[in-house]
Amino acid sequence: MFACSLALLTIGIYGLSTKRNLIRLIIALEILVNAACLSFASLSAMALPGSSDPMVGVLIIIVLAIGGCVAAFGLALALAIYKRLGTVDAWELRRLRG
Amino acid sequence: MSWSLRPDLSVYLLIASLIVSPLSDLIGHWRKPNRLPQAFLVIVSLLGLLFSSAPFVLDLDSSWPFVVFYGQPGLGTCLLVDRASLFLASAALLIALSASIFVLSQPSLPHGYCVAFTALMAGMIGVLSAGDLLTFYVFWEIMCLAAYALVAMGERREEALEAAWKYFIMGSAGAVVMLFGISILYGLAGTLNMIFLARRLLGARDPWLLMALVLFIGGAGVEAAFVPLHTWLPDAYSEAPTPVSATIAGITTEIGFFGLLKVVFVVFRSCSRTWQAILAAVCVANMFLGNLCALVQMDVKRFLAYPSISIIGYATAALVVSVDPGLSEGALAAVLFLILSHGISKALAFLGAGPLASAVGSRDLRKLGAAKTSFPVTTVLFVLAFLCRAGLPGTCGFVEKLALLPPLFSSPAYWWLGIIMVINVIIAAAAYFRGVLNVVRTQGRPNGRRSERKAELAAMLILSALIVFLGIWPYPALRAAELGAKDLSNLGRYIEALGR
Repeated sequence: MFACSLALLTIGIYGLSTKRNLIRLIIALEILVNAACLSFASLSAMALPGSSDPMVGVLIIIVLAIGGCVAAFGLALALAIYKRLGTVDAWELRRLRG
Repeated sequence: MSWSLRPDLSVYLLIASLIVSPLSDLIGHWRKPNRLPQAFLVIVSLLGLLFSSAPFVLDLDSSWPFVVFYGQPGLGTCLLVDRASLFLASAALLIALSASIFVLSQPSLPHGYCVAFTALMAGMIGVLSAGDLLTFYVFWEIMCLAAYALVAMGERREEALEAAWKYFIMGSAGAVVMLFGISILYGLAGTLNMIFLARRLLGARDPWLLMALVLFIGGAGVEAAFVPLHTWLPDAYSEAPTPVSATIAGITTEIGFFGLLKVVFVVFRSCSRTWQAILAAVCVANMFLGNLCALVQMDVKRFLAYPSISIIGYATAALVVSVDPGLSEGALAAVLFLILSHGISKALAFLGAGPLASAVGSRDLRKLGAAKTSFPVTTVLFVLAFLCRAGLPGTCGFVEKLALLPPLFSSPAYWWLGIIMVINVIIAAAAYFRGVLNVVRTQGRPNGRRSERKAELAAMLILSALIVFLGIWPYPALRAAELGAKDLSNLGRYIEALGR
C-alpha cells in the first residue's frame, strides 16, 4: 500500500508539472492528498499489525475534509479566472512577469 | 496558572473570533455598508496582541515551554507555546493590527475580507503554537487558504486572480508534499507529537528520515519562499490589496519559515548535518536572487517583494549556524529580532506604497515622488521604511544586521555565510538608496487621490515609531528574543515538558 501511495505521489507531481488545464491541476492536487492519506493508512497498519491507529483514522478524515476545502477553493478560483479571462489554460496566465 | 494569564489564550481568542467573523462580515454588508468588520478586526488583533505579549510585559514566572495536551499525551493533539512563539505571535498581531487600522479609512471591505483576515491571523498563531504535526498542518492550511483568498481580492482583478492561482497551486502542492513527509515521520516514530518525535528520533540514522526531511523542506519551503520555490511571491505580494501585502510580506512568509525552523530544529535534530548543507545552498541562492532582482525592479510593490526573499536567506543562514550549541541562542535570537524588524519595516513600506501609488495613478518607482506635495507625511514615512531596510543606523534595520553577523562569523564551518551576507547587505542598501533617490528627486503633480487619510497615517505612525524606538533602544525586544531563543535552542526542555 505504501508503494501505491508513492506511485500516487509521483502521478500527482507529474500531473502538476505537465498539465495546463486548471481543472486537471486541481485533480492532480487531489491525487497528492489521497497519496498522503494512503501513506498514513499503510504506515499505521505496518506499525500496528492486525489493527490500525485510531488517531490515523481521525487524521485521514480531517485531511480529506481540508482537501475538499482546497479543491472547492481551487474550483472557485478557476471559475473566476474563466469568467474574467475566458480561459482555463494555465499557460495563458502570463500577465505578471519580471 | 490562572486563565487570564495563560500563554495559549491568544489561540483560543482567534479561533473563537474566526467562528464569529462571518457574522461580522454579514452585518458589515447588511443594507448599507458600515465599518463593523474593520472595527472587529482592530479589536481582535488588539486583544490577541495583548494576550500574546502579556508574558513578556508582566514577566510571568511560568514554566516554559507551556504544553497543553488534548487527549492522551502522544496520541491526541497538543499545543506547545514557548516564548519564541509568543514573540512572533506578538509581531504578527502587531502587523495585523496596523493593517486593520489602515482599512478603517475604507468605507467598505470586499465580501469575505473580514473572515479571511481573521483566518489568516488564527492560522499564523496556530502554526506558531502547534505542538503536534496534525495541528501544525491544519493551521498551516487555514493560514495558506486565507492568504490565497486575500490575494485574489486585489484591485487589479485579472492580475490578482493570476497571482492568487499561482500562489494557490504552489502553496497547496507544497502543503500536501509536506504532509507526505509528515506521514513518513509517523511511520518512523508512531506519533505526530513534536516532543515524542524529538525523543524517538534522537540519534536515528534512517534513509526514510532523510526522505521525510527532503519532503518537509520541499513542501514547507514553498510558503517560506525558498529558491527555486519562490516564484509565487513577487506576484502575490504585488497584486494583493495594500494591507494584505503588508501582512503577508511583513510576517506570514516569515511565520512559514519559523514553522519550518521549529520542526526541523526540534524533530530532525539527528540529521542536522544534512539539512545544514541543504539550507546553506538555499540561503545563498535566496540572498543573491532577492537582492539582485530588487536592483532592477521599477514597480514599487515588486521592488519591495524581492528583498523579502533575501531576508528568508539571512534567517536561513542563522538557522544553519544555530546547530552549533555555542551559537544556537545568539543565532536564533537574531532570527527572531530580524523577523520582527523586517516585518514592521516592510509592512510600513507596503502601507506607504499603496496610498502613494493611488495618488500618482502608477506603481512606477520613478513617478511616486510626484505625490510628495499632497502626501507629505506618507512620503516621509515611506522613505523612513526604505532607509530602515537599507540598514541606516538609528533604525531597527541596522540593529537586525548587527545582531545577525556575529553568530554567522563565529561559525567554524559556515563562517563564509557571514561574508555572503555582508555582500548582500551592501547590494540591498544600494537597491533601497536607489529607491529613495527616485522618490526624492521626482517632481510633478499627483493625478489620482488628493489627500491623506487619518486611519492610514495612524497605522503608519505606529510602525514608524517602533522602527525608530527599536533602532535607538532595542534592548527590551532583544531581551525578549533571547528568552525565546533560549526556549527554542534547548531541546531538553521540550522533552522535559513531557513530565509536567
